[in-house]
Amino acid sequence: MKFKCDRDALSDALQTVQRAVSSRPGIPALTGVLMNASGEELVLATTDLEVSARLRLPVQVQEEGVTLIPARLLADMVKSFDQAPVEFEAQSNQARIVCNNYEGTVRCLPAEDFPALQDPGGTRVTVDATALAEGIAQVARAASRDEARPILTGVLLEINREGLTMVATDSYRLAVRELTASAEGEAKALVPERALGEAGRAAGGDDKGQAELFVDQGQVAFRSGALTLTSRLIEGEFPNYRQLLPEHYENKLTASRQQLLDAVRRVGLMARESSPVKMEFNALGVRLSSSSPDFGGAIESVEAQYEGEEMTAAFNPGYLVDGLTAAVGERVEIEVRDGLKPAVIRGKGESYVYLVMPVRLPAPVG
Amino acid sequence: MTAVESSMEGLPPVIADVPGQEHASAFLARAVQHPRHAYLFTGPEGSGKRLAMRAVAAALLCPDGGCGDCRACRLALGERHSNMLVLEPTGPDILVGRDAGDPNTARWLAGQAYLTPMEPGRKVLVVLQADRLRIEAADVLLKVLEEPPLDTVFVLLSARPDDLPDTIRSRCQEISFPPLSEEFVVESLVREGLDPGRARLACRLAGGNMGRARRLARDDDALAFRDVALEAAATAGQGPPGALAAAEQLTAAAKDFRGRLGEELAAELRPFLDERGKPEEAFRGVVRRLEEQHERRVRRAEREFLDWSLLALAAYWRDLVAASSGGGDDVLINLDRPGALGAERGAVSAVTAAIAMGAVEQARADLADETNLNARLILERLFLRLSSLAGHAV
Ligand SMILES: [Zn+2]
Repeated sequence: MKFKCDRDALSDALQTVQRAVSSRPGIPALTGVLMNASGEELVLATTDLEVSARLRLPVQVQEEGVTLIPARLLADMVKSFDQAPVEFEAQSNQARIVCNNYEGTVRCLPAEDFPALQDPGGTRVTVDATALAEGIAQVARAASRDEARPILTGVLLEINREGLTMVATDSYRLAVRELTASAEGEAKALVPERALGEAGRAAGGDDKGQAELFVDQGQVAFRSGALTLTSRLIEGEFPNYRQLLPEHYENKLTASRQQLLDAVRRVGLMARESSPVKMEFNALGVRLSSSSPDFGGAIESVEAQYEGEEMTAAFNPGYLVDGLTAAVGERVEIEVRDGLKPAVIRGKGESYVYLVMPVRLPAPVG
Repeated sequence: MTAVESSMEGLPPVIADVPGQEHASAFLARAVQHPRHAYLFTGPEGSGKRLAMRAVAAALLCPDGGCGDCRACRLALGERHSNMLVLEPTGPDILVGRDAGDPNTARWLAGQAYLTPMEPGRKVLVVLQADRLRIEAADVLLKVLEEPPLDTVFVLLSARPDDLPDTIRSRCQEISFPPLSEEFVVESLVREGLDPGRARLACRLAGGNMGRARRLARDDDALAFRDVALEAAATAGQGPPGALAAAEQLTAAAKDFRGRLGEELAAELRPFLDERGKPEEAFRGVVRRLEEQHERRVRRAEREFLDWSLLALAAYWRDLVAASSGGGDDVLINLDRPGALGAERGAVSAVTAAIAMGAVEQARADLADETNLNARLILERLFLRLSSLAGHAV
């Protein structure tokens, strides 16, 4: 195998795929980047056995072939080169890299040991890359970190003809984001939160245009530009979240998102461990309070528009902050039923919904 | 074609290659057709559990059911297939682990169970020395075993299955691997080009453990532990001060062995290191893994040496029992030194020799329990007991 290419392009490509190289490999081949030169392009592939990355790069192929090279070594090597054409040649178990007056040789890893990555397939959906990155950031934070319930550590992707819905819950809160998208069919996938985060990272940043998602039985693939990320899926049935989504409540607070967020953060400082922030909804808006026997207490009122009966509910301030941060737009709506049913946070538009369970307050004395 | 070979006909090639365990092989060959979700392979060290596990993995991952030749088979037999995960205890216990990213822990294995396979097909999740599962770790594993993903087959290996929680054991189909027969081990070693007499001696001293027998038969220094053990026994025969000296001799020899092993392993790492003795960039991961394995081996080395020595000692007393019960030289374990027994033959009764053998076995059991930290104390107790028996005999 032999090719020639630009230093910058190769260096960037190696840096990108290096994110999926296992940091603690059990199999030496997983420390490698698989390089496949054919036609007029080079495909770089890496995997950490959960997330796999593939990147296509136009190069001048002089001899087609496949080789597996220690990823980090090669990336560092190419990064250290001056801007000049790089020549790469691999034969049996050794590769030779030439740039300007530099010539290096690297021992290859056994390419057969590298896992056979599956091509993207199944149901395909196209979405705006920026919206995808935003949606992932909105829901991923609600995924559970508790490994004892593996299903909840994932984010559910639901594809139907109207678009793509992303859902996550840790059973204390639930985040749902709908994205308009053009899909060819219906499919479901439960994606590990970390893998989805990588996909969000790849889709975010500068305007990446459209991103494609492919979902089949065994994996989900995200393709934006020349990069394709694939992830294994979590097996099992995600809870039926739709039955958790309430009809609209009678009681609704409409407030400045930033003002409410700042107030929850301030008052929440006093709420330690499990002690919640109490929210008293009334005609003037909402009064937040918290107290801790060890530290003291705090009260802050936020003026806002409130329609409905006066009522009190208490919440974990961290969960409120997550929901208020994820909701976009200047105004935010909080709908409440009573102190026992979940509150619903909505931002601008209907595309994002965040449910948060209240904390039961001790019954008033007397 | 031998009888054994003809009984292997029709088995997947990878399973037919599992040495010396016809019953287990025949059972596994049927099992891989419609695998259950969990198996427990039980049997002493060196009875072929791990080889059988690799063969089962190959049979489950190979598109042809275990041809032994294809990429899937090669990778599975080398424990490198990405649909296969092998949990190898890194310390005395298998722990729960921080999260699914914490290797060789229960959460790591459970996390893999809940993911779709890396390559299409099944997943094979393996726990070596499963009896080391700490109770909380066993609970994590139990949750997966209670609701196992359909595409996953668990294989647990254990030489001490009685130490496993019943809850785990009852969820696994148990397959036992008895010690390999002497004929089989000797035949295999002879086929590898070793001298038949030497092979038989090695097999008897190794208690049927094929890997250990092979080392004993190949390496001239490998019998050193027996000499040390017999010498120590002779010292112990001189009375209580001798007994303490014997314990000292044996512990020192074990330390020495550990030191030599450390040096050998360091030499193995050398090709991956640069002039300053640091791992070369490209091999960091490999080096780290090797270092971890080496640390484990060195940590175990001392106890292993002591165990071999005591095994040799037990063999010596067993030979005395055999000899005083009128057995010929061919029933001896220490086939190469029938003469050495000459002096003791008349002097020690079969009963005394049997009691001594029991004391040695007790000491081996005490040493096998790694929570028993003071090996020296165990040895002192043993040799004092042996020296009192010697006094009794006179
Ligand atoms: Zn095969």
